[in-house]
Amino acid sequence: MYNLVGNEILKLFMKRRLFVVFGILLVLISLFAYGEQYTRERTQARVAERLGIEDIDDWREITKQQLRDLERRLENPFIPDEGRASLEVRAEQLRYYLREDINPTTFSAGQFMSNFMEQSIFLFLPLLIILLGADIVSKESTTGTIKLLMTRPVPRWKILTSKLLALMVLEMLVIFFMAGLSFLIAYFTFGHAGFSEPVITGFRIVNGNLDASNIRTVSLGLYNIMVYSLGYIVAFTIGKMALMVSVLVKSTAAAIGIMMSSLIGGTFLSFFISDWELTRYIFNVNLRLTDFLSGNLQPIEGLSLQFSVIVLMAWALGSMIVSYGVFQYKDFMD
Amino acid sequence: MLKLIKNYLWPFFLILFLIGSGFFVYGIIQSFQVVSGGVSAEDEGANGISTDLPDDVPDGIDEEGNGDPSEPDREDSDSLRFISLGDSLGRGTGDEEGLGFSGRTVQLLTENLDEEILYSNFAVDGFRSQQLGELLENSEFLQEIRNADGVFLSIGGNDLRTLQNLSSEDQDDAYDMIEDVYLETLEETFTLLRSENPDVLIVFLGLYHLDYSDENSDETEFLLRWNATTGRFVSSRENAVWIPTYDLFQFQLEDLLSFDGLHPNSRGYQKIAERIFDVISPFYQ
Repeated sequence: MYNLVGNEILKLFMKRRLFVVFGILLVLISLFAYGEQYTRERTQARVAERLGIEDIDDWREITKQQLRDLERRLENPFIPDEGRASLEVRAEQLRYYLREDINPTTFSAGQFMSNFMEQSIFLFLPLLIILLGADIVSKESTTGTIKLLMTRPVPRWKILTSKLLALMVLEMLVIFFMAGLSFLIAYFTFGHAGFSEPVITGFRIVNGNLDASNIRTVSLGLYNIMVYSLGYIVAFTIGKMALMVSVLVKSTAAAIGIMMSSLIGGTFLSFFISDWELTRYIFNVNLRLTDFLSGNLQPIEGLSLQFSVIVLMAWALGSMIVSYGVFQYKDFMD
Repeated sequence: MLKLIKNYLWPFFLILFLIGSGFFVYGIIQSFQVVSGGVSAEDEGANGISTDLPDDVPDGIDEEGNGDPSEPDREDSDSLRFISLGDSLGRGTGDEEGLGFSGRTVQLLTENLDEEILYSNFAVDGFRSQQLGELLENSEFLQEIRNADGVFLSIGGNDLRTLQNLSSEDQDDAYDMIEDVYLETLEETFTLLRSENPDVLIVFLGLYHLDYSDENSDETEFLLRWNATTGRFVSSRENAVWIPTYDLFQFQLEDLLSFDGLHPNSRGYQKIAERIFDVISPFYQ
């Protein structure tokens, strides 16, 4: 088994496709980093222009003033608890920036990393995984090597398991690559890592509404670990589904096409029939796992991180059952 | 070379995979804890940020004076009581010293009148007229109002600011709607204040400008209409005065605004307070 997985990894690694994926990531991350930098500079310039000053070099004054206002607002006993919680964490953030002497309007590499994952988790990351996973069996069907594989004295389930494990390793490699590359590029662009910056999180969904009464801050480093872990859940599920399609159809192009259209089509579907109760069991709706952390979401009734992860796992499990069932009995000899 | 990759690639990936799995399991557990509101010991220690919000909220927030609202120590005739109600301007947001126009007016009155002056600030940032109406349903407030000799009221700016999110075609219709609701609520607020305390002087703050973009003449137009309506409304009541501020800021907007470009700074508040002082000090002499 050990050797079988090693063999599959080697096959995947020797393919040009993996490097295409890495290349796409490199180009996109560089572009995003440049765009982010550009936007920040323009915003700063506009704010400076509005305030009638040359440059915002006195950010400490601005931040102090914001903090004073927040603290004064907190003194008021008549604000609701929810408002109080968000004021508290915002004040906490500002105090951090002042203490660590960081200009809050600048961007850190850590922020860029989590932003990048938050933006790519529902479409871009699945696309990359599809590119890698959708041909893992069908490629062998197309080239005919599947017949060679079948003639070896190894049970079929073992072959599929080795492919599955190899794909899981590769999914993780893609996530690592995303994290590492976005960090490196952002570090060169923005200049500081900022992993100890406080990030606001801890939103809950209560009765279909976003509940901010429990929000708090975690360090940006921990936040990134959380965000990328959730990214791996998505990669895992999409990988299993891609593998299933790859077992079901013979041609690689068809496998990629089917996966991509269901990925994009499912998203449309969830737009059009958003009030249909079954919508929330479609995997596309549940891909935006990181939104539960950032609180940046349109709450859908009944959706929560727990629910979404369970739905995704169910899709992965279902795909695996179908893959094994079909692979075990499929006739590859035609 | 290929041989080398062949031999070491997989063990290397295996180790990477195992380490990564550990990371991700940790991250997923943390995520679940965060969204379910649990606190893990780890990040409590790392950040020292407590999730416990202070629940010992002070129940009266007099800045100068003892302020339990239920305390009926009013009728010692030597002291004047002022309260500030309304939005962020009433609260004093943007003021470096945090006094706001109401605090500064009280300061001026203290310096110039021979009476002890008590003052409480109940304004809340971002309040619209309806929220103020809801707040006043609180019986604690009625007691405060009954005891007060003067009420600083700043409300309406946030009502009007909701217009900014609309396209210019919709603004005309929306303006009328917003103004109707606003006037209705204002009517209720005044009725309430009057029924609780017929003698209290209501000092109502006019709006100075809606937004920093003074090139937007539509919005200025709305603002002036708003001020005219509110001014007429307030001035027609007994013991109520509407304080115009638009002219104060007209030629020196940038000097009088705080960093956020929206609220006045301490100088801006001081100018407003001086004007209010000039207007209301004869009332108390």
